[in-house]
Amino acid sequence: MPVTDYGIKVSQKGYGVEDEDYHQVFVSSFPTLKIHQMGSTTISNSTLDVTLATHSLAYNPVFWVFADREDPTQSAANWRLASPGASQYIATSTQNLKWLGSSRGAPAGSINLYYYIFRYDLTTSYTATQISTVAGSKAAVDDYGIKVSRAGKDISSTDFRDFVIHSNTRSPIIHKTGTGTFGAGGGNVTIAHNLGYPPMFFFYGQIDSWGDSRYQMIACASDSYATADNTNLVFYAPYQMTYAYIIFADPMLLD
Amino acid sequence: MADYGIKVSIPTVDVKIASPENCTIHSGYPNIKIKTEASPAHFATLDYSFTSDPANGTLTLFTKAHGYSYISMAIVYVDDLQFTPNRFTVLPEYFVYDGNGYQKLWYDVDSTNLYIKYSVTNNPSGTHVNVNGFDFKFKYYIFVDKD
Repeated sequence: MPVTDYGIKVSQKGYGVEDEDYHQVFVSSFPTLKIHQMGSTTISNSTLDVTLATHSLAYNPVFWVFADREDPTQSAANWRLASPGASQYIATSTQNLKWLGSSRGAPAGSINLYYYIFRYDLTTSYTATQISTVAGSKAAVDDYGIKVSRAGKDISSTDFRDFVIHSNTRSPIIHKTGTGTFGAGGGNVTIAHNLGYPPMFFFYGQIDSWGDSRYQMIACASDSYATADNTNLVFYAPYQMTYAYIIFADPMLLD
Repeated sequence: MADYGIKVSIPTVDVKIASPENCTIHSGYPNIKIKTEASPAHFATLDYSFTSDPANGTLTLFTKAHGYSYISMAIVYVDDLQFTPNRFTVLPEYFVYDGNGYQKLWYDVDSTNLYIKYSVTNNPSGTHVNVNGFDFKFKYYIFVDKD
């Protein structure tokens, strides 16, 4: 039987549960990004298609991938978000996350990658039914909190990686997700979020000319852009495609 | 401790049958997390005003120690100043154009720090975008989770 009137929220240390959503450790009104798989892979020949991880989720999940160099032709350096604009072609299907060196024509070289695959279908149509952006009392509640350790990890651990949640951390709250399409030649779209601040967000795209159904993350590139302001996301791409977006109740200009 | 756990479902979903996708918390799947009491902060807005036009090369605008014993992952957004102020876009790279060439804002992370950088490369005509007076806002997030 559906349960509509119950819930739980836990505020971050130093904030009250009446404060803004983004000052909560979690609010049961909203889904969050939960890690299904994470790990590292070395692509020794970037011109090949290589499976980074088999997730077997039967849907296209939200994912992030980080790379240790600007593009495969460079030497190993520091880590950053991987981007197709830097010849880092990584996309998910309903079964796996792949480096598409052959399919997309990546330049020759090697690269180390670190990936996160989340338990959230990036094609989900969802809009949060309530938004709290008004500051509450900011009551000084410093000594209470919650922590839940991962299986096999000690609850007294001081390593935050050992926890599912912890009051001394925060997790981005999912505010809105959805999909849309552009016809031949691409297009642009404005997506209202109405949060009152520019939020954290990501776009993914399934471009028809690729000839497959994989979704790839879309970051700033010379031929497309995705931006957020106080009210809307704006996305432009010159491709016939299906796009998917995920917006978090997490403000850019407020800490 | 294999048999204990917690899950909290989102509204209208019965927790007894809720999949991880329909939960705010599910102890089988850790939330992606950002430390809230770090110094320097692990999420913050930064402001950088160019008071001169940088020469060719790479300028580090910000260095933020993450304090972890491993290379933590981070995401950075930048105000899309050149086109529409107060409209943010995600890095790894953001290009500043002038119709002839471009400069690049970017970030990366090593075992100690998050860096936000600006690279200048003159175009073939020997010039580049003059960013003197440009005021860039950034938002960064440093994540806890890594195996």
